[in-house]
Parts: sequence; structure tokens; C-alpha cells
Amino acid sequence: MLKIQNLHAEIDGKEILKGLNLEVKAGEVHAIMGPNGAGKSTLASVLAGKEDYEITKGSVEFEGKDLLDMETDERAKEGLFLAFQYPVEIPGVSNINFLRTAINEKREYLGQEPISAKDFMAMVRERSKLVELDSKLANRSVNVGFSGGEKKRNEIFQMAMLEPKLSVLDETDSGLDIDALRIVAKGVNALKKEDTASIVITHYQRLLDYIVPDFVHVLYDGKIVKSGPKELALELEEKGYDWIKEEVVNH
Amino acid sequence: MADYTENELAKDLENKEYEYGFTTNIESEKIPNGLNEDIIRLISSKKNEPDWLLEFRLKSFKMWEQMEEPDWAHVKYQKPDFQGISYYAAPKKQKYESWDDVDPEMKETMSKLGISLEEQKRLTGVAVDFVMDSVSVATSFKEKLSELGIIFCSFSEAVQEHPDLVKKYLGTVVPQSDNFYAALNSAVFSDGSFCYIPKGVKCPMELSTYFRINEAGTGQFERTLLIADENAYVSYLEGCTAPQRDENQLHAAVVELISLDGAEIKYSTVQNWFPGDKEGKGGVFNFVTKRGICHKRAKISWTQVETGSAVTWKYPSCILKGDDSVGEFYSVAVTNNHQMADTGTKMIHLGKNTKSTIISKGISAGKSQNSYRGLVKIDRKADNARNFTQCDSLLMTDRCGAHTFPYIECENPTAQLEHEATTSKIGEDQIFYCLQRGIDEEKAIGLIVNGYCKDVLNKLPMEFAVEAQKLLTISLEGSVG
Amino acid sequence: MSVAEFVKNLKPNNSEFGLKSKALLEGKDFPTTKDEYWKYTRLRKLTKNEFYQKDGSISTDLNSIWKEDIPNRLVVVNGIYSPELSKHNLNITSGIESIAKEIPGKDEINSGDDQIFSLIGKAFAQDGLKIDLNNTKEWDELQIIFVNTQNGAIANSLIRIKASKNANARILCNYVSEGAGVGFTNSYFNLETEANANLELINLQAENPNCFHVQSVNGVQARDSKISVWNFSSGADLIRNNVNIRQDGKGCDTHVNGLYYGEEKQHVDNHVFIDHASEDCESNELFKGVMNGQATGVFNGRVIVRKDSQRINAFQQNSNILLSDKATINSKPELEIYADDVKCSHGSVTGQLDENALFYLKARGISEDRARKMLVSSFLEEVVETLATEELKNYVVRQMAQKIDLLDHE
Repeated sequence: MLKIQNLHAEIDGKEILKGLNLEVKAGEVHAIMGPNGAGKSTLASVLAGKEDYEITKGSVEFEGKDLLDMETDERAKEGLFLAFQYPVEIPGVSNINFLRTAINEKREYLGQEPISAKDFMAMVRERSKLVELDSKLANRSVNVGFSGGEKKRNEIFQMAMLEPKLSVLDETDSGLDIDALRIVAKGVNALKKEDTASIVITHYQRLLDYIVPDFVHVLYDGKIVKSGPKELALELEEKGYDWIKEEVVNH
Repeated sequence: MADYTENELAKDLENKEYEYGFTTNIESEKIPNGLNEDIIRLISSKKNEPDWLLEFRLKSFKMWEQMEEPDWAHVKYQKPDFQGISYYAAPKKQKYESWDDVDPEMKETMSKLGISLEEQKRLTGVAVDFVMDSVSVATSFKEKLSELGIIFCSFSEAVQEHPDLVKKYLGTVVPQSDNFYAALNSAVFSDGSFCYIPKGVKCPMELSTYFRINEAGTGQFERTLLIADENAYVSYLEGCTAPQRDENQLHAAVVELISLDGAEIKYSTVQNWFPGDKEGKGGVFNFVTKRGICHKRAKISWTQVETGSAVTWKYPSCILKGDDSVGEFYSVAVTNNHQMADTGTKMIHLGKNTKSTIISKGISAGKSQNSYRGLVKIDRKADNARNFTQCDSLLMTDRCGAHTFPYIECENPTAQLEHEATTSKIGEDQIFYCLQRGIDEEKAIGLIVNGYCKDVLNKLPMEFAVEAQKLLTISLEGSVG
Repeated sequence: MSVAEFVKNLKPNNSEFGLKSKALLEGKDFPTTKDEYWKYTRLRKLTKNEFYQKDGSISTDLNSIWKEDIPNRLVVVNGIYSPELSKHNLNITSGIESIAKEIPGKDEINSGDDQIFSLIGKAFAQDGLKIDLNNTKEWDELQIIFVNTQNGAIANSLIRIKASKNANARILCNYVSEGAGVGFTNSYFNLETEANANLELINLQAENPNCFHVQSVNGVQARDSKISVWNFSSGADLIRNNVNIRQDGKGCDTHVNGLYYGEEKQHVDNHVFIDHASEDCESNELFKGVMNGQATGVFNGRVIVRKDSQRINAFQQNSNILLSDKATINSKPELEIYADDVKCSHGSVTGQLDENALFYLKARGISEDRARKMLVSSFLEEVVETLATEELKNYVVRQMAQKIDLLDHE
């Protein structure tokens, strides 16, 4: 589904990603861990197409298409979803209006009819339950006045509504208390399908107790320096990142 | 989106032709250019006016001659040549017996404006007093309204049919000497709307007028007088457009609202006068004096969405004279290309327990200059007065300007005044968020801007709100710097 | 009223910039309330008086005013530097000629219509002070006491302060009057900060209620420098403060804060003009006022963000309390913005003491008087809190409390 090869990216002339490789197949969950400043969030932004970053080398293939050649909204319409680390507030724009616009834009792109109001509302009711999001929040402005946990749940709710092929969760767990974390994880797990995949970017191993990854990768200094099964996460939690750093240096 | 550059924005905006820039080819009667006592007498006699009104005009003219055009507003423009304007233009064929008699071209104009009377009659139940240039040519729903004792007619008609009411209230809220343009209007006003709602009557429908400047080289000086008698209620809509022309057209209207004890007037404006082309050529000079007076427990609410005019100079105001009266001002002002707007409000608190709210949302794009200027004055005797002001400015490019000039004057220690203002750039992170959800740039900006203006748009009557939203989106298509 | 009439008893100094300034005053009238930046201030009560230049000797004991821990002390009497009352180890020179070359005839910053008074100062000052600050290791601290001996004395003080690269300096200025007569203090400051310099200027205006005080502070900042100005105003019949700062380099930071109290017929007018002429700069204004009696308070904050001055943060806040039904507040926080990548905001709040809080305090057994004091003090505290050190905060509150009964100081 996603194939990243030798990806280099920089911001303001500073190289952050330095030859990153990653392949994600349908049905898989990949976790990306790493110390602060390793380039985790950069990876998420680059995949979504944030223009502050310049791609200097490498390629990203998404469902056989050149992802880097697409505009941000095109990527989204093709089925790439980014759950933001810091979801943005948009005053005056209701969640409902926002989502309906997004869904209909995507449907238009795919040559489908706009969703009927009735179907849409039924979908909202059903999927907001998934993340225990109060239906009142659906009528409020996007993320405005939401608590930290509500914002993150809203991200997963949007994910449920937009039915992406590939979801990138950028530190969705940071700042969540244990109850909110459980709800978010439950939502993500419920949305898991054979033909979809997720990349879970996190700083903390604890998220992976709830969202069980098929693979764990360690991102360090702009590269994936170690990959392994889910047990790798436990090892990282125990020993920290220093041993990885040593390993890298010793290479 | 760093790469969605100003250039693209500029291109998008410049390509946007003025949608309503068509002219109506009907025969019209124009009097010679220039302004002097004879012209005023001519206007007055053409309209068959009583002597007291002629006197009112002549007195105003004398005052105007002594006055200087104000220059304190944050706008720059070539001052109009007041002798180069024709002060009266009326479609030659007057007096329509029925709707069928109305010039087909004029009907066409109206339908292009989206306010075809027929359609409105059928669909919305809005009674429209359509003012093309200066003479009211069609009114509807009159009978229905008259059953309730509501008078809604052209100003000229009111002068003939209800002279006592006109005489009693004309110039009481905006005195002739108020300012340069009010004096000019008082001398030469050609027509406008008149409305009277009797005691205790709630007007069952939205009253609506559409203003349009048609004839080349004519200024429009309409005069609106709206009286809500004790405990009456009325919601009044005003829309404005003008055809696209190279020269600047002057529009200097005066609107006076009188809200007597316990009455409420809701006055909504969607103004889309021709703003000039992308070079800043042409466009309407909109120098308008709008003011209302509230008696005891009365309320006046101004709502405006302003996207047009080359230069705007306009401060719909409330004099809160009666105890427990309420004034409100909700405004969205969009400027683009070379437009300049200096607009805001005045809330004059004279009575006790008076309340006012000001919500102003400015959006500047292109090379435009957009200023909010507002006065909140709490008189010595206005115990327990309250004001809340929120004025926000949104900047779309780095060549435009957004300015805020609030004047807060308080002479009473029991008053509570709160003023907040912010100026910021349209949020790149907001746009990115929308894009990531698959919403394209243009729609994203539409969403964000409409969201930003929501507090004001919500105050408009439904059918106007839709039009206003469309206007906003058209005015700012693809506009992020 | 014409300026010529007002200065008829005054002798101009013969410096080049003095004569230039005098020429610029030729034919000028004082501004009236029709002038936008004098809209709320009538100068009549000042200009109807006759003023004279007086020499500089005093009998007042200044010991209660000196802040003990400041090693450098200057005294200026009726605008004339008094070496015998001063002691310092800084690079300071006096005399009109010392500053003549460094202060231009016209004001550095075009801030509207407040030039008349700085021109009068430049034309008729009998002395000047030039203060060069260059301590890059620690803070240079300096206190200046300005005394007006009255009997119609006009004290034109001209002060030029330059903080060189990386310098840190804090200057505390006290304005006092000897006795209870009519006097006019017209002080003019020219501030310059070189790159990365940090300059603080704290003004305490505490003249008698028959005095007049106009102060113009003009500052120009080079990159990464910081200027902070405080105006604490509690004295004089009429006070007009102008603080005009232009940020001429990237990364400048400007803070202008004020606290003003008025009673009887006092009039306190604070004008602040911040000219964001460079990128990546910040400015902050916080002004709080309490008006009692028939006093009038004015705040006019004006921020301009020039075209191409991107990434500017500018904040203005003005809060006022009216304690009497004859008092007046006029507040005019203005923003003029010509760049787009900016965050600017202003707020203005006018109200009264919180009746619920007052009741609460009384219910706890605190007397009405005491409770009012506590509330007024806590309202004003926010401004005092912006001062750098605890000693300074205490000193300022102590000095202000001598003039303001309503100030709580323990």
C-alpha cells in the first residue's frame, strides 16, 4: 500500500529525514517509535504534504501512485488520513458542516453522488458512538473548546467518517489520560480492516498495549535504524533509546 | 500553504468580474448636471413637494455650502466634483398600473439580481420596494400591509400621502447639519423608502428594498425614514448594487430610524455596490449616514454585510436615549483590490440601563485598506450602561491593511465596558487541516471565512444570509496570501 | 493660543538645534481638541499661565526620595543639572552643547501632533544631560530627581540616553515640586539602544496638584534591543505623557506600561506610539488607571505595523476603574496594520470596583475603607508587577502611596 524509499526531507535547510525506508501492506499496523527530534512528526507531515518541508531525495508510492506528486487534498481524497498531534481549531465552522464538506469532496473526486443528509446523519450517530463522542460536539465548531481528549477522539471520529485506506496517527496518545487512551485505541481497533493499514507514531510504549502493532520501527536521526516484532517496543520501554544510539554509533 | 502564493490569489481575485455589472437600457430623464438653488427647486417641483420640504432642502443646501468635505477617515480618494453630477434621474415612464406594465428590461435587471418580484412574491413573502435610481417603480404587498395599518411606500409617495408623519420625523435623528454628506442628501435627495409601523403591530413579513445606481453620472441620494411606533416590530432588509462603470459614482444616503417606547427595528444591509476594477478604476463612493434613536425599552439592531464600493464611509449608529434601550451592530466588511472602507458604529448611551453590543469582522485582501472606527460613549447620566465590543480583522495578503480606531468615552462609574480586538492572518494551519481532510483550498477558505463571520451572518434573516454567504465566497475566491 | 505668546518670557538657548527648533515653532498654535491626538486634552489650563526660567537651587531634603541601593544619583533643578547635589561614576556630560549634535531639531518619530512641547524644550532649555551607558557585565543603575521650584518655573529638561551594544541600564526618574505653587515641567528624553542593549526607564510623576507636566520620550531601537518604559503618574494638575518608540532593527522588544491615578480635577493623558518598522519584533502595552473626584484619564495607544514588518506580535491592554460619578475615562487603543503575518490585539475595559468582592471583604470584618484600598491596590498591582526587582516594586508602591491614599502598602 505504501512504499517509502530513501526519503530525504529538510526544513529551512536543515535535513530531518535522511534516507528513510518503510513498506506498509494492507491489513498491517506499523508502530514508529523514537526519541525526541528523531523525525517522527516530520514523517507524518511529509506524508500529508505539508509544504514547509522540502523533499530532496527519495520516493513515496501510495497504492501504486506517486504520493509526492499529489496535492495535500488529493492525498486525502486518495485515502490518506493524518490524525494530527495538535488538532487545529476552526472557529465558526461546525464539525458536521466540516465533515460533510470533506466527505462530499471525496465522493465528487471518486465520481460518486453526494451523500444524502439522512445517510450522513445516520453515519454521524453511529460512528460518534465508536469513540464515545458526545453528539453535541458534532454541532460545535471544529475542535473549538474541546478538551485535549475530545480533540483526539474527534480525530478518530473523523477517521471513522472518512474511511481512509491508510491512517497515520501522529502521537495520538500523547497528553491522554488512561480512559481517553482506551477509547481512542478502541476506535482505532474497531476501524481496522483487511484492506486498510495504519502507521502509529508514538513516543510511549503504553499505546501499543492497546493498539497491537504487527511491526515496530525505531526512527533515529532521520532513519529507521531497527525494526522488529511488537516485543521490540517492550524492550525499548525497558532499556530506553540509548542502546539503540550506541548500536547506531558502533555500526 | 506557503506555495499558494499571493500571485495566484491576485490572479484569482482580478479575474473575478463584477457579477452585477450590467446596465439597464431604459429611457430615463435626467436633469442638467450641477447643484444650485434652481436645481433644488427643480427637483422639488418635479416631485410636486409641499413648501415646507422645499424649505428643508434649501436650508440644507445653505448649510452644505458652508461645510467642508471631511477628511479624517482612513481613506484616500479623488473628491467628487459636485457640480459634475446630475442630481436627479428617473425612468421616464412612470406609474405602472400593474406588474405587467413594468418595463421588461427592468424585470430582467431584477431577476439578474436574484430579486425578481414574482419569485419573491411566490417564494418568500417579502414585500419589495425596488428603487431604481431614484424613483420607486414597483411595490407589492401593499394591501396586505395596509390592513395592519403599516405604511410602506416610496419616500415621495409618503410626502404626498402622509406629510404629517414625514414632517414630524424627517431630520430628527440625522439633522441637516450633521455632516457634509447628510447636508448634501438633505438638499437633493430624490427618493427612498418610508415605513411606519403602528402601535403594537408586529410586521408579519420582512420589508425589503433594493437600491441600484443605473444612470451614468448620477449620484444616488436616497432617503429612508423608518418609524416603529410603541411596541411595534419590523425587520427591514436593504440590498444595494450598481452597474460597472469607469467613473466613480457617488452614493450619499441618509437613513433615519425611530424606535419608540418598547419598539424594535432590525435593519439588515447587504451592500455590493461596484467596487471598481482591479486597477482601482471606477466604483461607488458610499458615504452614508445611518442612525437610529431608541426610546424607552426600544431596540435597534443593525446588521451589515459589505463587500462592495470603492470607498466606504459609514457608521450605522444608535442613540440610546430611553432607559433600558438596546443597540446592536453586527458587521462584516470585506475589502479587496483597491477598495477602502472606514466603517463602524457609534453607540451613544444616554439612558439608564442601556446596553449595546458591537461585533465587527473585517477581512482585507488585495491592496485594500479596511478600518474599523467606532465610538462608545457613556453619558454622565447613563447609570448601569453596558457595552461589549469585539472587533476582529483578518488579513489575506501582505499588501492590504487592517486598522482599528475605537473611541471609548466613559463618564459614569457604574458602566461596564469591554472592548476586544484582534488582527491576524488567515491560519495556514487551518487551511492545511482542511486540505488533509480532502477539502480543496478554495472551499477551505470559504469554510474558514464563513466560520469567522458566523456571529454576524447568524443575525441576518435567512434568505439574506444565503446571499451574503455567496457574496463573501465570491469576494474572496481563492484568497490567501 | 499661539506658542509665541506662551514663550514670551523665555530666553532661547543659542545652540544650533535650539535655534532650529525655535524656527519650527514660528507661527504655531497649541493643538486643540480638534486635533486627533489632543481630542481629549484641553491645554487651556496650562497655557493660560505665565512661566519663567529660574535658576537651580533648592532647599528640599531629597533623602526620602533616594532609593538607597542605587549608587548613581543626579539632581536636576528647573531643568538645570546640579553637580553639587549629584554623585555618580557613569559617563555623563552636561550642558546644551553636549547633546546639541545628537538630538535632531525635528523629532525622530513622527507621532502625530505632540511635537510642540519637545520643540519648546529644545529651544528654551538652559541645560542638557548626555548619558552614555555601556555596562555589558551587569546593570547600571541611575536615579535622577527632577525638582521644580515653581513660582511659575518652567523646567525644560533635555536628556539624551544612549545604551551601547549589549549594555544594561535602569534609570529611575522622580519628578517632584518644592512647595505648592504653579510650575511646568516639560521633559524630553531621547533614547537610543544599540544592538542587544537593554534599557529601562521608570518615571514617577509626583508633583503638587498645581503643577503641569508634559513628557516626551522618543526612542529608537537597533536590532535585538529592548526598551521598557514605565509611567507612574499620581501628581500634577495636568499630565501628558508621550512615549514614541520606533523599532529600527529585527528582533526588538518594547514594553510600555503605565499606572495613573487622578482625583479632584486632575487630568492624566497617556499617549503611546509604537512604530513597528522592522520584522520579528514585539511590543506590549499595559496601562491601568483609577479615576476619582472629577478627574479625567485618557489612554491613546497607537500601534503601526509597517508594510514588510512581518511576524510582529503587538499587544495593548488598558483597564480603568471609575470611583466617582464625576470622573471620566477616554480610551482609544488603535491598531494600524499594513503587513499580514502579525498577531495584534488590544483590549480595553472600564468598570468599577467589584461590589461583590467589596461585600465579601466587609463580611470578613474588613472596614469599607480598607476593603476599597485592597481592591484598588490589587487592580493596580499588575502594572507594578512588571517591574524588574522586588526592591523596585516596593519602592514604587511606597512612593506612590504618599500621593494616593487609596494605595495599600504593607
